[in-house]
Amino acid sequence: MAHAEPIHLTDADTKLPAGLSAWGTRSLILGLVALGLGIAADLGHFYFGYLTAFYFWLTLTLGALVFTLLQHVARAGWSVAVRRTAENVIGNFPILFLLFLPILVITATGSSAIYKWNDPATVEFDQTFMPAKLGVYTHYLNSTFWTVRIVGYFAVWILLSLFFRSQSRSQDQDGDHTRTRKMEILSAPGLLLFALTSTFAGIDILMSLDPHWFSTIWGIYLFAGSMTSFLSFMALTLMLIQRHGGLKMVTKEHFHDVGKLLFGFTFFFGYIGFSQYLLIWYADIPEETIFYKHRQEGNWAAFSVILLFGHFIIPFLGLISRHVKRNKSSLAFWAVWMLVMHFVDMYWIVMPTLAQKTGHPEAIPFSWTHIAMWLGMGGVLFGLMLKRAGSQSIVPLRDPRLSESLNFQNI
Amino acid sequence: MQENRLNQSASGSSGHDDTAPQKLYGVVAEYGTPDELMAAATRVRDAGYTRWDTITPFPVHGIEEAMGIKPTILPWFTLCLGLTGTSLGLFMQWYTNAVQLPYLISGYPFLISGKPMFSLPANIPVSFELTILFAAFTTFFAMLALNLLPELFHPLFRHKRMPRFTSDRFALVVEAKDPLFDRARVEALLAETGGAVLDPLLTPTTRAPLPKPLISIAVIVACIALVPPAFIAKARVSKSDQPRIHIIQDMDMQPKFKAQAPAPVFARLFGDERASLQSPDGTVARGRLVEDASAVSGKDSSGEWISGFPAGFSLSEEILARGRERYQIYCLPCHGMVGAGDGLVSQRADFLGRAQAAGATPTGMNWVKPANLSEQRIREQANGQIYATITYGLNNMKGYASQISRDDRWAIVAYVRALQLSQSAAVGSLPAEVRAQLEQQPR
Repeated sequence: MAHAEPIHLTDADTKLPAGLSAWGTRSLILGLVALGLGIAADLGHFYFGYLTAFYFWLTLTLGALVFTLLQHVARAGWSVAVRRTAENVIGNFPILFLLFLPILVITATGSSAIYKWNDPATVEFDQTFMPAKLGVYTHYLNSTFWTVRIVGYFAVWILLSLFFRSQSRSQDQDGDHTRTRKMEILSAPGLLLFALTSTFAGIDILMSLDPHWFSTIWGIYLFAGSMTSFLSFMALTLMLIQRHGGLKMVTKEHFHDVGKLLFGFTFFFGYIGFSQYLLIWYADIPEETIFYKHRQEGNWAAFSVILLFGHFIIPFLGLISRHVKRNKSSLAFWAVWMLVMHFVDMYWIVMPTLAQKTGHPEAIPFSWTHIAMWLGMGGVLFGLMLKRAGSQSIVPLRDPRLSESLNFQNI
Repeated sequence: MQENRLNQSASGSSGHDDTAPQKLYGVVAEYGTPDELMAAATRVRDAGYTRWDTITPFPVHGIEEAMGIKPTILPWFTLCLGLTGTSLGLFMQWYTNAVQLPYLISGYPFLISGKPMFSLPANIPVSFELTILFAAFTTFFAMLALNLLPELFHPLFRHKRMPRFTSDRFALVVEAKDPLFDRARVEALLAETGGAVLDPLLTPTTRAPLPKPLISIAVIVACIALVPPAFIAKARVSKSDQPRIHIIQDMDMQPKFKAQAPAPVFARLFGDERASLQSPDGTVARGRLVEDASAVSGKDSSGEWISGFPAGFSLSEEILARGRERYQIYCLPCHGMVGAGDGLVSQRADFLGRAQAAGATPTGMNWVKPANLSEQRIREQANGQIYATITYGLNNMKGYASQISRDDRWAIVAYVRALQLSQSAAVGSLPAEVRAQLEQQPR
């Protein structure tokens, strides 16, 4: 419609449905059990499965953060009705910090169970054969500076999420429009901070698994994955709430937009992933090609093909149609697909390191514990998110653009 | 009140060509709000009319649904032509880079650094760009075509209320071409939907003729446009001793004389017919005086290779250092660090030769291994002969006269002698401390 009709929201629309509130605690407990089982059954190499699961959920949460920031910086109208979902997800940053503590603590105390650069033998080897690389260890990749940086990234994320969540929640109470303005102004520097911290976190936590390898597009590659995973997660969460009777005013127009973004970032992922591959392939320098060599050996070759087709080509063709994005069932299918593929992506990034460590670089060290940790961690985070959603309205009630969002129509 | 004003302003004749015979184009109704228009459009749609349209000053969401307009087929054009772009990009790269056919229809396979002729990763960017180009152009032009654009004039422009339809009023037009059209019934339907039925839209039955000056201008422009093609056509079938018209000069014409060019007329007064004047007999360029002919040829007056060095060339540590430096620049790649014939080029050729012998590479290759400079045959050569080999080349080795100056070539000869000595020096001839060092090393 060309004009805004006053839409009256009832409690049924704006409160988390009772059926779903009960899921919060259940999901939390199930998640803890699965996570505990996964860790207990795989104590020897649990760090790598744990890191894969952790980074999956970290990128998803970072996707929620950048989604929130983008809506404010663009003064987006359409997304107001669905924005609270993102705000509930970014409340997970403190929990993610706690979840990262095992890796943080062992690395800070000098263990090289995950990071080779923490092993004096690696440094010694480089001293002999690659003296030019030594500065990497003395100036950047050492446990002290690494720990300081990681704490710094989480501090930035937690502060950003606190600010945007508290402003939005307070607006529910007082309806103060200047809060919207404040969020718009701070979202621009917030995006800069996000870009820097998420890029460097990607370098420090994932790229440094191989201290010699480097790729300047790495941060963007991970960002593309953040967006596909969060958008899928958001679509599924909204559908779940609707199935339990809430959020009735979120229409297929909103899902269509989420689907468009998902489609766009699916292609973006392919574009960035290929850009990284092309430059390394063309230059053909051993210290760069080693990354792909590890991922083309033995079973990893098939795994890489699964990533190429599963994360890019198939969903690109699948999501290309407008009707697929406007139909909830088909969108849900692709959202689940993209979430699984994002896990495949994280697995593809982390696990070759474990494969080399165990002496079988060509084998995929798959174990059900990896899945248990992935889903378990997700259960914990999802449960906490639901609890957070239950404690307040699930739409920004008095956002000045709410009615624009509710009346939103795609052309 | 408003209704009255509407009717008043809508009364009176519409159209500009009042003199020409008029026919009915359609029935026009006016609405005050988009909602009224939407409701009316739904009614007209349900009544089964097909040739009708709505006019709104801004995009009204949902109007296409109310009018019963089917989803556009534009995306299919975009998809198909996008895929055409992808295939065309891939095909062009494959055809031009990797296809060898008879002359005129062949591609141009060109081996660079042993890279594959056709390799997907390298060809993705071009295919991607062509996909985007084709998809974007198709979307744009197909959109225009599907909307029958550009349309310079529409009969509705004749309607008096048209300016309001682009400002603050909404209109619905049912065309007389509609198979169900019946003026009284349409007007009744539109009135029923709450629209103010305006004067019907009339349109002249005949088109106004084109203005006369426009026709003459068009004829003149068309004639002028024929002149360049006519010249080109004439040039295709006639002969001329004039050089071709040189449109883009670049650096082809420079104010200088080329080798073997005739001298300009004025300059012939002073020299011969040649543009390059000859130097007088006995002239020696500065720094080019050769006192000993053997420094150039490597031979003495009786035609034998000289065994020493030419006159004026005295051995010193600096000369040897210079010789080593030049040797390591020009000779080392093939002859190796100590002249054993094992430079990197030689090693690579050796590897390729073995690969070829094993049938691993298809390319035909002939390679004469670089000489070991310390072998007896070369030890026995006179200095002059080694100098001549460097100057003129031998077998695979090309002459280096153009790259290495004469004095440097002699310096290299001296260094080659030093290398030969280093490969067969007797222990006894070494200085005492070097000998002690050697003896300490494990065998």
